[in-house]
Amino acid sequence: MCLAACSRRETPVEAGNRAQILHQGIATEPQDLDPHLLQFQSHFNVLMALGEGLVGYDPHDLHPVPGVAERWEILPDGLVYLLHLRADARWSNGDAVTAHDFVFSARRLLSPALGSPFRYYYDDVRGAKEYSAAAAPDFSTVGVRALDDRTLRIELLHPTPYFLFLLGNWSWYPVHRATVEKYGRFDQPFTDWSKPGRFVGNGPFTLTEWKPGQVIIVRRNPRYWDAARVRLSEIHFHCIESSDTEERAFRSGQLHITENVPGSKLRDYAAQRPSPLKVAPIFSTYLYALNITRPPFDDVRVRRAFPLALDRERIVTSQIASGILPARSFVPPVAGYVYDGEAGLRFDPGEARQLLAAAGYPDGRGFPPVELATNTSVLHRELAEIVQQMWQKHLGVRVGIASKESKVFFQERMLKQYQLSRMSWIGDYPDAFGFLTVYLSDGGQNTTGYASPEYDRLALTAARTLNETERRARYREAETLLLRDAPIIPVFYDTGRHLVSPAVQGRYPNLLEFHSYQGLWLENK
Amino acid sequence: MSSGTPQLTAAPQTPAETEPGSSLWRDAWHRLQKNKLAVFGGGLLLVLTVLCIVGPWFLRFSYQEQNLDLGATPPGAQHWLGTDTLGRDLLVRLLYGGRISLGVGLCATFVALTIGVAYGAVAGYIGGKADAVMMRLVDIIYALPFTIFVILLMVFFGRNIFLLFVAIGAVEWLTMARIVRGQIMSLKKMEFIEAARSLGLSNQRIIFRHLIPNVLGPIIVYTTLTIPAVMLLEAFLSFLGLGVQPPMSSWGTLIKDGAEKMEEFSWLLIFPGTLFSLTLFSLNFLGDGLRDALDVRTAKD
Repeated sequence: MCLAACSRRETPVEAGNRAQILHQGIATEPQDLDPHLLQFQSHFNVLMALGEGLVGYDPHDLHPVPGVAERWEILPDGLVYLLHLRADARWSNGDAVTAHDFVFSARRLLSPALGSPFRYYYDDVRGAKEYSAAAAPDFSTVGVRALDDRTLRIELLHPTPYFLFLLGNWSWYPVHRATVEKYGRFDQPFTDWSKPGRFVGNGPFTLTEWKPGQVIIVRRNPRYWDAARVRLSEIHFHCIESSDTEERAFRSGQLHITENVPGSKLRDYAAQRPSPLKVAPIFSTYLYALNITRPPFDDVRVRRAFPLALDRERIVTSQIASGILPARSFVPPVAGYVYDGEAGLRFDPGEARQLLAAAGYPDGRGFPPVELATNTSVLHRELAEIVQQMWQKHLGVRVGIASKESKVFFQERMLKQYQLSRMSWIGDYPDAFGFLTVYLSDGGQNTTGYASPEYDRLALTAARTLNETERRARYREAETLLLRDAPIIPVFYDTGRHLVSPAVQGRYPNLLEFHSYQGLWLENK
Repeated sequence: MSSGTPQLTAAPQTPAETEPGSSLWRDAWHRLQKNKLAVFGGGLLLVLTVLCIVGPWFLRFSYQEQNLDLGATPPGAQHWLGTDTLGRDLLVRLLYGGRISLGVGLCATFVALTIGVAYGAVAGYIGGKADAVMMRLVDIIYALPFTIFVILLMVFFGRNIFLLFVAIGAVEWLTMARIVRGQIMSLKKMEFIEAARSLGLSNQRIIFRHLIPNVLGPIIVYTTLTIPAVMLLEAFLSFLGLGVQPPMSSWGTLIKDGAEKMEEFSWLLIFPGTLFSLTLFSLNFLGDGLRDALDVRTAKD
């Protein structure tokens, strides 16, 4: 009895290794599991378990691989895509996944009432913009059509080099029509259809439980067409916002994979052999977004002064932030395009002060109080404190810091109820346009109020240029303009930093951190 | 009722000569001085308060001055209590945080004390309908969820340290009012109050001169419990982003940050934690001592 009582209890990770239950941290809790209303890329981790798009991504280099579509044809003009759906694709309730489901999902995502922030993913599709702007009430004008149950025809406005990649994105994930319509209008946001017990998905796992603020549990879906390849029996997604808490959970055997690693622990973990620390470049930039619709940031001189007063070199070498690179531009230089134009970000406090003086605030005198909003996390707050100090020192400007609960924080940002707001942008596809698309005038994630027809023209021309060299030159022009108009203050290029248990097999680093679960398993070595 | 009348005629000027207040306080002071723990506690509090107020002026560093190249360093000759991850001197932040924490603790408690004692004493002494109305009002405010009430106040009046004091104080007085009212209810039936009344003293004088000094024991004990509670509340509100804003520090935020990093940088938790506990201990010893000194009946061992 005593022996039983005194012996160490089996940790969730050890138990998970036996039963193929993966415990993964996802930091912030999603507001909803509706793929059309996702907020954070990290939540795609959950969606990838629950759903599947027309194409999937190769876990190594992210090239599109067959998903619900088993093969596809692109007509020679590059405008028409014919996707042939596999016959054995099933929803978790047994219904067949058909081309009509994709048409319904496209109609839902584009409907103005749903207000999905991801409508811009369909911008290249013929008629999509008009439909989502409610200018064309008839969906048949949109270039997404089911030729029969198993053939989907998508027609584009112009050749789009990365379009196939987009088809794997969550915004192209199908939703189950009968379920969605059972719990509300088809275009009603945040209804109860995506709750446990109701959710019907077409992914390798099904939603079984959601303890608010704690954990989302998904279980293997035996009806998934490729179920034979799925080796995990369950995945528990733990919502732990503090990276310090997450690290402790990892150490005490409660997590296989963490979403973050506290900066102060990086050195320790890097020295361990074998090291559970996985650091890899990702297609992501950490930045502060400015609300340019309100003073003082409606003045471009003020906007240019703030990034000039940031000593990024010192930020990235500080103790709280190891493993990151100072940002020279908005688009990280990891996906084949490197910004080397003349508007590259630099540290020049003298010029910053001049700009601020020209705007009417010599040495920061008379500058109105501004507030930098972050979501509650030690790292974000500490970075904000560094930045706050630099602005005070170099510009004489006082910036307050407000840490807010994530849901409030993101809501306020979407509603433009902020002055300065922390933001991480991770490209949705490995092309510079995955970044530059954000600040198009009608961009769904453009919360700054930035609207420049010239920028729109440059960025869109670039995105539609098929020649690689030519395209990069165009991207450079667009980015130069963006950095000059400065609706954002890029701070650093992020890296993916995770602690991964050695038992996790079949997980590879990639630029977008898309880790499919099909090839993943747990094994003690 | 009838025994009071002859005294009044016999010596009209005696009450003024043997004013009980002054000798009571002097007695209490003597008794307090004999209580070593209480003196220690009081002295420590005084030293801490003085250090927090004047300390930051004499130190070379500012509470917000960062040294990113330095990062977190253990205590040494340069930084006596070490630095935090942003290279800020912990000693200065600790003293500066003390200003906030002690300030919130004392101010909010003072507000609570003033409102609570006056309100409770008046309600208890007058009694009847006025008492019923006053105490129902307290019940109503009590029924509001405490934290949400404070958060609402902060949202309406903006984030301001001074308002934080007032907001907390405005909520903390409720219990005090109830305690004082209960004590007054039992005291007002006693002979010395009858005597005071028959001397023709005003209600105000009876309440503040005769009743309240006699309920000081429970008031002081409750006050010493309120101060740490308020300090903890401030830490909690700061955590929610409603209290002190970075880069300012308070003991609550320092402890919270230290706890996150206690494994690598233990001093970030040890020093603020120790100082906070010391303050709470001192407050408790002092409170105990004061109660014994002021309330002779309970002090007899």
